[in-house]
Amino acid sequence: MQIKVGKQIAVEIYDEVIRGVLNIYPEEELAKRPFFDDGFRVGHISYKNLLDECDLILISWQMFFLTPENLKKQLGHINQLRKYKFSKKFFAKRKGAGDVTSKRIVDRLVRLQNYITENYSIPKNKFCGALIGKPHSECVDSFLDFFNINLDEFRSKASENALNYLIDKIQIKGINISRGVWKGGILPEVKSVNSVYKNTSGFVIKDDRIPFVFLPDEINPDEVMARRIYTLIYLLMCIGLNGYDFSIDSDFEASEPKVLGLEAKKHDLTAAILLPETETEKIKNSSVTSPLISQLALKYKITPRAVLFTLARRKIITWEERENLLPPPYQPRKVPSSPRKQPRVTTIVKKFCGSQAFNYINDGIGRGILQNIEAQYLIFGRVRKEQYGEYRSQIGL
Amino acid sequence: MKLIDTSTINQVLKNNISLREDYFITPDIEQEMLVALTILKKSIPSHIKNITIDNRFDEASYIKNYFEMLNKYGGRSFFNMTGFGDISLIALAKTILEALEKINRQALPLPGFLEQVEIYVEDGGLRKRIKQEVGSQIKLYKASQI
Repeated sequence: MQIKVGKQIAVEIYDEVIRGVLNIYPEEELAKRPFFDDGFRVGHISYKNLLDECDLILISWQMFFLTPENLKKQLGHINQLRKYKFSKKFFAKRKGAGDVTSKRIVDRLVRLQNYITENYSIPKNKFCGALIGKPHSECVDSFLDFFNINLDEFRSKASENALNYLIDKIQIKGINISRGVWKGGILPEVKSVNSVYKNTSGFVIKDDRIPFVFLPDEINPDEVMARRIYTLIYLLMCIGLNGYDFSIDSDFEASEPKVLGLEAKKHDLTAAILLPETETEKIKNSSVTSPLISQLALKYKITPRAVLFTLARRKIITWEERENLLPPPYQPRKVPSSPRKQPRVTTIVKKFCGSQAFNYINDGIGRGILQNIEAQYLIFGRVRKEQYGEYRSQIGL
Repeated sequence: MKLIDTSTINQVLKNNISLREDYFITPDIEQEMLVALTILKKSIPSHIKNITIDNRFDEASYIKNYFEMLNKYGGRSFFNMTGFGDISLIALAKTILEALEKINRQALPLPGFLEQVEIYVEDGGLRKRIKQEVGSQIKLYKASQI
């Protein structure tokens, strides 16, 4: 494909390199983007437009300028580093509507997790595996005690504040919670990628010193507040029970290991925390109606579907009754078109990286452990010098 | 025409050197400088200009040379995204050399801007690479000589 400056042909780059670079994150299907699609059709692209496109898809434009041999060498080098970082990582996920795990997000979080574990002496987090072998009721108490969660306080809050209450309590205890964000160029802000991310589910990346939880939040419109709350508790059960369902190999492919069987327990414990059995026992002999389900969902901050699932598991209703009471599938609200104020760059970074990682990054920058370029890759996933300057200024460095 | 690298800009900023004529940098070097300047709360001195704003700059030729130099030399990392300023400076030096050679071939009088091309570079490895590409036709100076 030719690269043009104005009407002049500057250089011809390799089609196989373009396809190779666009396939680094295959689930994003970047090759289908009109810019490249049109380029392949007409045989040329403009240099200036290539720079703009690369800024959108968060891939360095220089990569497209490599020869096939050099690209192979570069990708080999990157994969080698990833392999080293991924070799002993395990993760678990809560399946979402589309069952997608973004390799780009996993890549970013593992990079953050490794930065922390390689540079800081952190003792083993006592919650990792703490629920193994404990009876059901003891698990619930241990969980609430460990994170110092007051369920009455949690339930008294509006859903978003209730979620933030849990997140704060959990992060204080050394578990990093990363949340999907669209703003601030943290993830590519392009339509094709958005459609991939909207099917992204929550997951946890194992590390006994600093486990990482990822909540899709705003990048997955199906994740209503109540579902986010359930997902969060469910993923914490994965950590507490050491119940990791998948491993990731050097190519970021997830595979199921043979040790399984904890799925039901993870859901039962999640439900036991959010919707206590003492409460559902009270309705054992009453007529379970849709308004009652909605009432329980509202009070206990879980979705009506989760309430029905829990009632069926507890044999308060039959599975058939559950099917009949299921509400219609959730229709995500349309995003308001009015321009919303852009949050501070530190707010966005703290949300995406998690407050634990955010604090370690800032410490690393302050103490010179992290060089500017590496810091930008941890924070933004690419070099964004102006935003990085703003970031440093906002954290007072 | 005078070209400078990142270390020379640092030298200018560190020693508060007041420049009296124009010095050119590549887009990659300008990018590298932006963060350092934001942190230092300084701006690029007005006499330091991005080469792309100069109407004598042949961008197509520069891009062709960037492609060649990127694939010829190591020292740049796609993992940490470092070393591209150096690649861009070699590409720019080569672009200017080609312009010089074209003028010589056509036996045209040398335009004023190409009469004396100087590059200020501190890093020994980079000096060696520039020399390898442009020979002695472009004068090389150390950052401290600015």
